Amino acid sequence: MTIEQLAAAVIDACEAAGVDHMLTGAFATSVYGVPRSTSDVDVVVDALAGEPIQRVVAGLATLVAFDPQVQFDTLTWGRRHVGRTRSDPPLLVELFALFDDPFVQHQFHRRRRIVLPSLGRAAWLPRPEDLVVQKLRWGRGKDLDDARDVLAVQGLDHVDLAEIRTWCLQHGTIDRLDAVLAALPAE
Amino acid sequence: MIDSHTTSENAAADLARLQQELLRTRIDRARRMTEEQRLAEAFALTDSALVLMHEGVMAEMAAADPALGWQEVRRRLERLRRARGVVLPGNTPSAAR
Repeated sequence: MTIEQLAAAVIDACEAAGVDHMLTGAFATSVYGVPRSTSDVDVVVDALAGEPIQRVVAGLATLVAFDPQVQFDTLTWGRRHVGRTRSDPPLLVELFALFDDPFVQHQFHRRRRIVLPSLGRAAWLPRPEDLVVQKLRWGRGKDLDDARDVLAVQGLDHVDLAEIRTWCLQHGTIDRLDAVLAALPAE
Repeated sequence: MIDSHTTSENAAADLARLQQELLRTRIDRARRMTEEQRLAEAFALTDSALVLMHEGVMAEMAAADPALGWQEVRRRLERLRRARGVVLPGNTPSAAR
């Protein structure tokens, strides 16, 4: 199985289960920034627990074995359902349950749907500004590189920097934003 | 006479300049691509990186069974995920605390 086949299967499972969703992680970063590899398909799902998310898990059952225990992620999105592909290569599916955080809700409700021929279907993705805010909030080394790359590739004239600043002030991540802006190569 | 301190400062400056040039090249290339092209490249990079990892492991282990190679790739990817999960101090979503 290729990573794009897995991503397509996850999107199909969400749609079949009637669960609103949004592709995030490295694939969202690659759409807006510099393409990079990953072995995870990360999807935010609008389902706290229970039947809706179980329908997604059941829809993927022939391809992915999910951990019986739901993980509580200390960094990102709260509850997380983690699954591993049953066949090689070893790929990971992470279903992040949407939760009641103002920025997380804002990002999800502003998501955009774009047609992706390489997936053979449309997918929901965050907006680039929201992806930058999210990456600065997470703050791991690769997140800061991703935030820099998205800003550099989109160009500062084409993103709403004031909005990014507003969220960063709320999150206490304005120093990270300034460091990333300082690291952008000269035009 | 150039002392060793000056030489190492120059080397550091050269390295920083080279890093900026490489970053500029990567960004310029990505800017010339469409969203779909960038995503397709991420897929291709992922698929080829996994194949390369597997080939490397098979050679390293002198293994004949591809399944054993994939088991080792799986272990290495798990270790990588743990190493990359290191977090800087800062704010995280209140519900995630």
